[in-house]
Amino acid sequence: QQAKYVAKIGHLEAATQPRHKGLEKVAALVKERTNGEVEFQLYPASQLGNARQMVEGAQLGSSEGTVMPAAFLGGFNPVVSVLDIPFIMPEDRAKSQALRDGPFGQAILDSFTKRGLVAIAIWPNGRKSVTSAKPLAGVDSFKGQKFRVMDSRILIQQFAGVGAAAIAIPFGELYTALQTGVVDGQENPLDTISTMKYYEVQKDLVVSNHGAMEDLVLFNPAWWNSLPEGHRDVIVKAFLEVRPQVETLKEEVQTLAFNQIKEAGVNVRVLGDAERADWRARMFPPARDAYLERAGAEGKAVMEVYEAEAKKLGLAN
Amino acid sequence: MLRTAMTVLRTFERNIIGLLLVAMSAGYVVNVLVRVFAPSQSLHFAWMEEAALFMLAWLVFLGLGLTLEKGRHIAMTALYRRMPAGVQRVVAFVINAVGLAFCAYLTKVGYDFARFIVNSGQTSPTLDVSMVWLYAALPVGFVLLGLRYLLELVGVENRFVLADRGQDH
Amino acid sequence: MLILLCILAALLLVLGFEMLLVMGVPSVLARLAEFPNLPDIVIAQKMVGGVNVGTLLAIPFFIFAADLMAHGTIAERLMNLVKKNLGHRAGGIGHTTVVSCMAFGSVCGSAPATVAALGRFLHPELMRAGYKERFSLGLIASSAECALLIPPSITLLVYAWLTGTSVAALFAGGLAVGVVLALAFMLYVAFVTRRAGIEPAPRASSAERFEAVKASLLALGMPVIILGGIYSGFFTATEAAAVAVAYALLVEMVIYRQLGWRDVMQVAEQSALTIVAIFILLAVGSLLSYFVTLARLPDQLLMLLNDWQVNWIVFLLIINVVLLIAGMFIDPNSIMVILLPAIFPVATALGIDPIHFGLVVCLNICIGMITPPFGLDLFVTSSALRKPVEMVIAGIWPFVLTNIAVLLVISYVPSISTALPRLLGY
Ligand code: NA
Ligand code: NA
Repeated sequence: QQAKYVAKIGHLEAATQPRHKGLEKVAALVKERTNGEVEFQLYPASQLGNARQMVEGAQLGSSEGTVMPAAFLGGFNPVVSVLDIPFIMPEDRAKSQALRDGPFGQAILDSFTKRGLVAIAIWPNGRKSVTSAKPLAGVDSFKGQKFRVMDSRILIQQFAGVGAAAIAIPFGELYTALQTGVVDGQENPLDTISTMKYYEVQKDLVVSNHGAMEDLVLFNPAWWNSLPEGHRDVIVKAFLEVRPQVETLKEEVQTLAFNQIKEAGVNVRVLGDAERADWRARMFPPARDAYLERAGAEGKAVMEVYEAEAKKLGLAN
Repeated sequence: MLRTAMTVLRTFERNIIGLLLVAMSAGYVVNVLVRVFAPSQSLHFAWMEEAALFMLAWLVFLGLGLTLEKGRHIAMTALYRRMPAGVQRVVAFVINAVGLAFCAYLTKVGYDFARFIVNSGQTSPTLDVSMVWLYAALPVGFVLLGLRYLLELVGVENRFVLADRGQDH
Repeated sequence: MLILLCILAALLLVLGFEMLLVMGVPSVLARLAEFPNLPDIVIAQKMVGGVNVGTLLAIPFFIFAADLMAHGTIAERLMNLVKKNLGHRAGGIGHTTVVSCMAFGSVCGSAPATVAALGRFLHPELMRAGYKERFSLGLIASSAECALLIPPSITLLVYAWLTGTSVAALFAGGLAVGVVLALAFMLYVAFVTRRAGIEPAPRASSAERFEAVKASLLALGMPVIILGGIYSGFFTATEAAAVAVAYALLVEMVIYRQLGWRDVMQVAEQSALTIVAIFILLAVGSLLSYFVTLARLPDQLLMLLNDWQVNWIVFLLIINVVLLIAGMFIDPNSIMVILLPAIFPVATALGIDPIHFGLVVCLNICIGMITPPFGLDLFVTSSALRKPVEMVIAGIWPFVLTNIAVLLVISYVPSISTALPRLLGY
């Protein structure tokens, strides 16, 4: 049977990575539960364009949806950049989940409405760790090192907070930049460090989980509103249902990646609680200030929701 | 009158595309110097790459018309050059008419897209300006190219003659 | 419908329409006919997107730097150095072209940027040595290809990311395959040199050689700064291209005083026109790849492969044919991104080594750079050297054929790709 509602959904990851695997599961569930009326056509690996083009595509309706890390969405919606602030999400998985499901997550989803997008869910996609070609003994060893960041003022301030230089280098050039020493280090989830083989050209890894990688599930409003309400519920439920599986999948590949990096002879160390507090104390405030400066009153309101929620969950601030 | 207006336009185009190329190169070199000699300051120059890409887009689209006028757009004209003059006139007419229509269409979609971007409020990540500063280059460029196809169509200019005159011009 | 559009494109091409119309008009019609629900402003988005790519920035910088050096004296001094020291060997300048493009391209990582940077120097020397115009253009356009194979290689990095293969292993394999390709080209150069009866120049005296070295000391700073700067981590390949511009300005304006501001602005304008001609084709090219993506051709290919139950030998043959055809029309990196997620699992299921498969794919990508009608290296050669594109195409065929021969060898002798990686323990 020909599907009545077809959605082209593009994303950045390779077809072998957890986000795509998760999307395949969602697509199967949605197809089954709408009796084949809704079909998701998946386009992995930037087939539909780079991050900006995919989000624009979802806005203008050249594609119907995308699953995009918050880090690429700041230009479209400054509010969502709150998720770029280091240590915004707690270590604890259940507490992170509570943040996504509660008023904080809802405030983020709602902030997309007036930007011409429907945001229906936040998907976890791991945490970032840091690697460098120079020793990363304590928080002071960041000083004077050069780190690659994505184009983001918040991430630049995060590294400025520990005295490191932040340099924007395109993802595609990063391996070579690390190899030749244009930059000393970088931050990414462990599985990216392993798939992109950055460990081949790095000496130290600190499993810091300092930055959350949160994906926003975005749809084109016109397409979304054309769906019968029942189908919309099916889709939202499918994304929420598959979410824990994506998280598990991500953790599995992270563990695999960790072992692979360790076997390759990289100095590996996991950030302890005391040191974690130390990093947070230096990185969080400047990054938060950069966020507040950029996101204005709306950002301030979301930050207040976050603080109230964090207090409820007993998180240190 | 038309000649004078075209000369003014041409002078503007020639200078602006040259300056954009020099500015892009300079910006990149400054970036390298800062990173090598004062890495702690490099965070203040993170917008340079984005700026260079914006300039490249403007260079490319603003230069479309001038490039046509100079016969420098890539085309396979081997067969055209062997046609009898009468046939050449017909073919040139068709090319120019199609070119004009194509430019008109792209100007329209380019303008619509630029308006869409303004309404969406999208800003660039490190330059922190509206993305329309990038996307507006396309409709502007296709107006300039369309103008050239029009002038060719009514016989004011003839790029094929210019292109034949020799490789260096 | 697809066939009608192809016929239309071919017609526009031979009638002498500008290439941007040859590619653009059928793309616009394809949207109307095949994707009527697609908002038309996506055309503007994709075209700007095709130009707005960070890794492409090296091309304009190298074009500008090369034009500056060609108008000043750096180019002449460098070529004189090569001539005095290698000119007396048979096939000297021909082999120099292959080797210098390979060395330069291997660091800068971009074949079109290599053509832009070196073509302006090599072309007049090849002509002076007595090679035919077509051969010279073909040699320049194709020698730069090895840039995509010899590490660091962005093409291999993208493959590694899409498939999870080790970058270092691919790089080792790429080195081997790149050298094989360069040797094949040199073999062809030797053949042409002998057949055309091109005599080597008389051996230069040691005094002449010394003079040439002395005169080119500052000019030699150029490759030293670019290659040294990249390898020692002072800058990325793109930044190196901008530094090349700065160094050319410093030497020509301040030290040799060959160029004044007015000259520089004139050169900049000329370089800009070259850049426009190339980049507008990247813009319409990205439109074309977008429609190919939406047509979901890989799914159909996959069904075909499943139906036929092919073994690895037939599979590689089919993949090569598909990639060669695709490479004629759309840009190589898009091909990888569109096709690999679908076909890589099939390749591994058939027992093909991922490193071997990667090099087969990468070599196809290389060939795509020089196959008409859409071949970026052809456009850059034509535009940077101001030669009609059909003349470049006329000269490219022997190199395309050489390339295909190498491709067949690489496809069916896996150990060429995998021996070096294995030796290094991958
Ligand atoms: Na290379
Ligand atoms: Na091609």
